[in-house]
Amino acid sequence: MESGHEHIGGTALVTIRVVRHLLVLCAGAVLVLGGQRAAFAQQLESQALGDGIELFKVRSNFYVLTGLGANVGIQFGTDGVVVVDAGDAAHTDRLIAEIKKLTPGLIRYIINTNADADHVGGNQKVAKAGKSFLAARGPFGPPPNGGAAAILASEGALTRMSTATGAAAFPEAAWPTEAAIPDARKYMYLNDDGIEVMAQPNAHSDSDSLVFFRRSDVVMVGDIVDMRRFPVIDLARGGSINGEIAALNRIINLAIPSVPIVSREAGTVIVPSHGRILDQTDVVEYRDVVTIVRDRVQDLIKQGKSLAEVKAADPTQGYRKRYGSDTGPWTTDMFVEAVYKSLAANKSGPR
Amino acid sequence: MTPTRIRIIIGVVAGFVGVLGAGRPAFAQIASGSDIAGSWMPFAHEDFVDRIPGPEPLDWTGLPLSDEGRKVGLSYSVSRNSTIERQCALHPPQYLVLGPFGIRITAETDPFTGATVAWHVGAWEDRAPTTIWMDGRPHPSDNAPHTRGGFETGKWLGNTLTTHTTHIKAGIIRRNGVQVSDQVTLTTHYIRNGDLMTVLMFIDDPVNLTEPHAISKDFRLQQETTLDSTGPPCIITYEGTDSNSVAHYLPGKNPLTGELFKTYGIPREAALGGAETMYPEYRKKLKAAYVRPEKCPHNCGGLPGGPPGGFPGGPRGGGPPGAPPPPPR
Repeated sequence: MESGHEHIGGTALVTIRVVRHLLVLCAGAVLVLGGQRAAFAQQLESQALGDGIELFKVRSNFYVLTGLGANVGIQFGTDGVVVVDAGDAAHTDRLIAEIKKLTPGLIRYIINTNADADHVGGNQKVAKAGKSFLAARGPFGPPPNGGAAAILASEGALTRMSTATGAAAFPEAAWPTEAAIPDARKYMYLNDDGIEVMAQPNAHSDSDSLVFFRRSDVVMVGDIVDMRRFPVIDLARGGSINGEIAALNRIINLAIPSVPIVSREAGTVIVPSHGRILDQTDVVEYRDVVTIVRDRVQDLIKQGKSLAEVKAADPTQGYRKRYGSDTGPWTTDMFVEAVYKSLAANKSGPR
Repeated sequence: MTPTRIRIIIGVVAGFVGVLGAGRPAFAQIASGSDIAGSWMPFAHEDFVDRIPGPEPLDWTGLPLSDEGRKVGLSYSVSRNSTIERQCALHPPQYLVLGPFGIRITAETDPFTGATVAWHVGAWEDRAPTTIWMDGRPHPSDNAPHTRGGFETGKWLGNTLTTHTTHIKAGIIRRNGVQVSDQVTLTTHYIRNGDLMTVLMFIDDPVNLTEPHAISKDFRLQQETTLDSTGPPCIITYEGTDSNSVAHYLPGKNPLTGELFKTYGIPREAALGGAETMYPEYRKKLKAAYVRPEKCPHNCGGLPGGPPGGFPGGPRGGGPPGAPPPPPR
C-alpha cells in the first residue's frame, strides 16, 4: 500500500513543512504565554513607574496606583473612569497623567474612602479633568461642580470637608457632590460592574466608606486596614475602636477566599489606602490583632485600671514589634490611649 | 543561629545525604543536582510527633522564639480555627518541612532552549503550591500581595538548589499556636542524591524569632506512584462559632502553660522555647530542673504499635501509653 504523501506534489510538501513550523512556533508561544499566566496567578502584574509610584493590574479593567498619597483605585470601561481616592494634592497632575495612559475614557466619578488630605487632596483637579454624567443634561439648571466629575463620599466626609476651616479647609469644588449614609444602600452600575459605597460609622474616623466593586470583586477599604501599623483611631474626628472592629468584620464578611479550591491564589482583592494589596486572610489576621488588644484593654478597664496602668500592662504585647512604633505620627502609646478612651466613653463594653 | 552553625548544618546534611546515596550507581547519572522533578514521599518516622499526631500544647522547645513570638503563642486558642473565615486558610510554605506530606515537583521548561524556567512544587491537603522561579526574575515590591505559597526564586549552588522565599502570609511554625509573622522569609536547600532528597529550610522572622530556625525533612523518590499536586477541596461549614469572634487567652490566663511539665516533667521555661533551647548546651542548664515522670503517658517514642520501651532517653520503639520508663542510666 502506498503511503499518502507520495502522491503529494512539491508545492504541497513545502506548505506542509511551513504549517509544521508554524505549529511549533505557535505551541512555543502558547507555552511562553502560559508561563506568564502562571506568574500572574501567584503575583499581580505590576510596573514601577518611577518616583516611588507603582501600578498594579488587579483585574483586566481595574488598576491600583501606589505612591500618590493614599493608594488609588482606577476602574474603567465603556462608561468612563471611576477613581477611588484622588491621592494627595502634590501628586494630582501625575495621577491624571497615569489615568490617561491607561484609558482615553472620561473620568466620571471620584469616590473617597475618607476625608483625609491624602485621599481628597486631588479631588478638585481630578474632578475637573473629568465630566459629570449630569453635565450634558441641564433642564434643572447648571450641573453640580460646574460639570466636573461627580465626587461621592460618606455623609461624614461631606460634613467634615464642608465645615473645615483655616488651613484644614477644602475648596468647595473638592467637596463630595453625593453622599453615602450608614445603613442606607448607595450603589451604581458602571462599566458592567455593580459598585456599592458603604459608609462605616465611627471606625478610623466618622468619614469612612468601603467601596465594593462586585463584578471585579475588589474592595477598597481606605484607612480601616493599615498593615503598616495599628489602625489610626481618630477620636477627635469621630473614630472608635468598636466601630473600627465592626468595619473590619464587614470587610471580612464581604470578601470570599479561594474555596473550595484552596490551592488557587484566588479570591476577593482588598486594597487598603497604604501598604500592600490584601485578601481576606490578611484582614482576618489584622482583625484578630485589633480585637485581641481591644479585649485586653476592656478587661483592664473592668478591673478598674487607669490609663497609665493600662499602658504599663502593655496590652499590645505580642504585636508591638510588628505593628507598633515609639516614634512617628501614630505611636503604640497613642493607639492604646485611643482604645482606652474609646472604651471608657462606652461603658457598656464592646458592641 | 550563627552563619558558622548554618554552614555546619548544611555540610552535615549534605554529607549525610551523600553517604546514603553512595553505592547507588544506577542513579548517579540523574544525581547531578539538576533535576528534582518527581513524586517524593517523606520518611514517616522523622519528627513523627510533630508531623503526624501533632505536638503537645505549648511545646515550643527548640524554637528560637522572641518574647513577642512567645506572647502571640500564649494568647492563641485553638477554638479560633473553627470560625468560617479560618477553616480553609492554608498553611504557609514552610509547611513543606513542618507537615507530614510528600511533594510532587514538576519542571517548566523554555520551549526553545530547554532550560528550566521554574520548578512547581505541588499543593497538598492544607498547603498551597509554590513555584520556584529559576529565570532570574526579581522579587515583587513591598506593595505586592503576600500569598499562601509565597514568592520563591532559586539558584543551583553545586549540587544544591538554594531558594529564597518572600511575600509569605503569617502562619504557623509549629502546629500548636506559635506562629511567624508576615515578615518571615525562607532560605531552602533542596539537596538531591540519587533517590533521596533532603529539604533543609531556614525560617527567618525578624518579629517572632530571634534567629533563623533550621528544620529539615527527608524524602525518597517514588518510582511507581505519582502524588497528587492539587490537594482536595475545602468545604466551609458553620461550627457554632460566631464568625466575627476571636478566641484568645488574656495575658497570664493561658491554662496550658503547665501541660508539658505535668506530662513529661519538662519545665515551663524550656517548654516556652527561645534560642537557648535549640542548642545541646541547654541540656546542662535543664538537668537540675528536669523531673522524669513515673510513667510515659503518650507519644513515647517511635511509631505506634512498635516494641515497648519507647521513652525519651530510652531505647527506640513505641511503647503503649503508660509503659514504664527504662531504668535510670
